Amino acid sequence: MDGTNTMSTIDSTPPTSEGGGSAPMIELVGVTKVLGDRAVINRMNLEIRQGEVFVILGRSGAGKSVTLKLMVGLMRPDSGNVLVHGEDITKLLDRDVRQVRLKFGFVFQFGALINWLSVFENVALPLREHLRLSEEEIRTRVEQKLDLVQLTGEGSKMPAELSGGMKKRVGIARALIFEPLVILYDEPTTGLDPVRSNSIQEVIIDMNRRLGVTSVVVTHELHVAYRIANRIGFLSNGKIVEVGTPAEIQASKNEDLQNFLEGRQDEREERSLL
Amino acid sequence: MNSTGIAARTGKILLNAAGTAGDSVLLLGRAIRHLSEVPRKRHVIIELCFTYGVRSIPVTAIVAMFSGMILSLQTGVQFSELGLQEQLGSLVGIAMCREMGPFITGLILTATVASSLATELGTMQVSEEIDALEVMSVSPVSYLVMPRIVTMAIVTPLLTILTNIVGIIGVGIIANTQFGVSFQLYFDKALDSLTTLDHVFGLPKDIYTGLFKAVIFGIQIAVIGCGAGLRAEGGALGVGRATRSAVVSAFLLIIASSYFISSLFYH
Repeated sequence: MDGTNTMSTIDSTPPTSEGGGSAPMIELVGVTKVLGDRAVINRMNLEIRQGEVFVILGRSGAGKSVTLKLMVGLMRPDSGNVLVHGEDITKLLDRDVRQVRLKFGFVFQFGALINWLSVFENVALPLREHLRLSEEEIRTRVEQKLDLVQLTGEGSKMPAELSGGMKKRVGIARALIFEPLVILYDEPTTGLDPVRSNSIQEVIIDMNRRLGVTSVVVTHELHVAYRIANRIGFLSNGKIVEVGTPAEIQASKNEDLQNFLEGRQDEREERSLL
Repeated sequence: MNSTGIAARTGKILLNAAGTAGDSVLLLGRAIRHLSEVPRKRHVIIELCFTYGVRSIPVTAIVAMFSGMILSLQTGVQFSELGLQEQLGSLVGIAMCREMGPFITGLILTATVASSLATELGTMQVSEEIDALEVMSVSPVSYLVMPRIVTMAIVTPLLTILTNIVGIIGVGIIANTQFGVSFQLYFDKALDSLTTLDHVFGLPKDIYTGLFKAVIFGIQIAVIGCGAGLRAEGGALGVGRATRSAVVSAFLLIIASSYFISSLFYH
């Protein structure tokens, strides 16, 4: 990808492609992850296609964030395989996993900005740590990414001075600094007002349309999923139980999914609340 | 609690302690592998020297001054009953440089820096900042831990020198005002006591062993503080637990290692 692809204004037209291509970018094959005494992810199979916006829907605590962390090697599965561009990262040493991670950008739920660094330095951090660039080149690249997320001129602010939406946009700028092949978004719009939420959705759509970035978005907000997704996967009981386009998901006969879409408690939840 | 319960609980505590010790050794080993990056990170290290070193000067100087004065008051009374008050300088010079200086500095830095490191890195851990570094393929050991270990290995002996000097001055003030020992005699005795043993790089043994201890204490404080922070989990409560664990572990380790280093050099 070339950094010159960046644009000055955001194109908010929803993504229309069915994934830009059928080659799998990420595959989870029979993955299980146990935390404490509970299998949060239980023999999960999932395929993310190159160039698509894939949304993982699910209830709070269903294991959506864990799924993202497994994809990027922040967590190792107890069993199963995680393939990135065909390479099984579960078989790699930590230092080799770090190399694979350079293909990823990760936008954390609350930004996860380094709190003693300014916005500019947060975005510049990966460049300073991995490349030997002149100060001028670092400035050019960082300002380009800040422009992209509509934070022009905000580089000198500290994270404590930013709103939740701005922190997330800085997180996106930082995730984009190496022009990754995949961006993983963990609850990118949760807790934001409709205007801020909308602007984040536009950025996600735009990254996909203009830069061809594969995006995996974790959310439990249906309107966000319907707007940005090429495909949606519904996570329940540690597995992806339904995958389809937004229209297919809405028409699904899966009872668990329909309960979720219509905001009904299923029997298990009712029992756990009693 | 019955005896089985006590045994199980004791076993669990010992296993946790062994696990923590193992993690700390591994963390130190991983940090050593990144030492070649020190020149590139010199600006960060200088900044940290200011944060953890320069800012600790006032509290270190105050504690050292009062510790010296208390030491002088207690030993001075006994010495004057035997007519040995003029020997206060000899006793205090050795005691401060060999043991008390590094020990007092170590305890002050445990309270201020080990707790601060555990809180700082613990907060980063629970707010996913450490994960963010990992995702950017930036090693937290290289970015956070190694510069802090190097910083503490530098500032702890420097602060120990300050503690030694201020402590000796504190003893001198009491020796002069309470026991009538002249400053000239007191400082002559203190200096004489430090120049009688063998030297390394021009430093008397009493001084270099104390500074060696200080370097070890500094490394221990940084490794334990950073390790506790990186292991933190479970939000604010977890950060609080990490901080407490760091302070207790660093405190115990300083006392134990102080004994073993003294044994190594003086027996």
